[in-house]
Amino acid sequence: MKTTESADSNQVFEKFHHYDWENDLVYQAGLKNIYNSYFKANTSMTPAKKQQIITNSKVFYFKKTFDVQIDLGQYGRWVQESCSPGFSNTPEISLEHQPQPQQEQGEQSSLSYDELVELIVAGKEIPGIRKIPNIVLEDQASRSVLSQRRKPWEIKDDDEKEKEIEIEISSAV
Amino acid sequence: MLKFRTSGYSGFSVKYSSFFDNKIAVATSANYGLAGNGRLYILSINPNGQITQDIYFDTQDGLFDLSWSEINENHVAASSGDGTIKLFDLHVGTYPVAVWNEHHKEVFSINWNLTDKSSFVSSSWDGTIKVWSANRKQSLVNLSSSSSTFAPTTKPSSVPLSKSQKPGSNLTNTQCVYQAKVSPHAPNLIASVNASSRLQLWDVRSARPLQMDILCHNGLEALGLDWNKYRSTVLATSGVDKTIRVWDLRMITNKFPASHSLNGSNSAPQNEMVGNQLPVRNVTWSPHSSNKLLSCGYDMTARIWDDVTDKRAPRTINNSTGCINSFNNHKEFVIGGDWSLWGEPGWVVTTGWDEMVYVWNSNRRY
Repeated sequence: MKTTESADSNQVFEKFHHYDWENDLVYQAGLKNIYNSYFKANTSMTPAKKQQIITNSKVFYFKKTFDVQIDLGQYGRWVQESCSPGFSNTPEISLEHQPQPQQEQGEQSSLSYDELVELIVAGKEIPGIRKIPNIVLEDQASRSVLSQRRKPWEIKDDDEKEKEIEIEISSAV
Repeated sequence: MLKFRTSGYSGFSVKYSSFFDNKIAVATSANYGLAGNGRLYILSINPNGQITQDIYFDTQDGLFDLSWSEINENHVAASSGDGTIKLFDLHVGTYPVAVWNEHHKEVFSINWNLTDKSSFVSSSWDGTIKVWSANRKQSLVNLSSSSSTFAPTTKPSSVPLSKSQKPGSNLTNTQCVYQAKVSPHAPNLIASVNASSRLQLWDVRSARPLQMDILCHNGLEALGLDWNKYRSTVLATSGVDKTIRVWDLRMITNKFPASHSLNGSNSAPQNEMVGNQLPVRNVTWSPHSSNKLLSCGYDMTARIWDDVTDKRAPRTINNSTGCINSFNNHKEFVIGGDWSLWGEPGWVVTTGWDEMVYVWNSNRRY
């Protein structure tokens, strides 16, 4: 009983993990809504929080579309167990990567330059490359409220010009 | 000395904000920029001496350079390995608010126009320099750096991409325009350096924009470039030949020596700074002084130089006393650096392949 259940959830997690979010237009449209209505209004929101909301939106979408409930806790453990070398992982939806523990990130890229060149030359997959959605939030650019500052050399220029004028005035007088 | 670690990402460029006293942006790439994602960090230097992360933006491809907007304090443009330039907004987060996509290869430099302020310039491995307006999707001007140069003059590239890499096993080509910058004194004047060892000068108003094309680093790749902020005709360049050279445009009488000879001889620099053990990637003049220069090198040092051109004998090169400070805390190539614009003069920031950002006082020894 228990084994079938875990086999089922393995399948579910695998499907969730490898789901092609980028090319699911319905999901992408929903994601855009989240950005427009939710993130825009909360400018102080941390990237980790945003990532969490995105992950939750994926869970919600899965439930709505495939009638499958993803348990994020179990999924996180499954990712850890399954994503051994050779398993293409997508860290952006792994909860274990929040909020970007520095050590872990550092180790992730600790391939030496030579190791890296070997992988590239051999045409092998470079580990840890994430897919970043190609989204542009064109209408959301904030307006500038600060006035432009004069650069140090522009201030000095002006000071010198003033001095020159002062000298001219004093010599004229 | 303050520090911040860009874990998992090699630093390529770092710049102080034109608006905020204490904000810096860092352009980085995973896997030394060879493959993988990029990340733009926005950092704050706090009164307690801590550098904290305000926000970061992830990109599909590595980031090689960045420039803060001169008209909007929230905007930072970053140039990427996939040929795109992306404008990020500190108040929007996660995704860019504008993308420019015309370059065919890595965009290696991006610099805002400091006087016009509505435009910026980019340079790429595709051999072109482009001028853009922040409000338009298409570039305003497209300059071809390579059409004017003769490939045979160039010796094989030897920019070491890693300290363990052997010279000669290069991954670059002769088309690369490593840097292009608009003059801080004249909004239509652009200087650029390329892999064919050329220092080029462009006037974008002219029907024939190329105004000067000289061999500046002995046929080896010219990597870095900056306009002096106080002397409008003075430029510094750096290159694979391990030197930094100071040029005065008024003193270069033959503006196109290369067109007369395939082996176009070097034009004479005003000054030459020698001391780096490996190629010099980047040079930046101080915003507070007409003669102080910051350099970032593949020998893992960041150095402060004093351009002591003798006024009584202006053509005498004085290269023995130039280096006045050397910062040796980086453990890998130092690739990007900048001077603090605001506050006490002399503070600088540097970043490199050791995934470190250091803020340090150039008047002190570490």
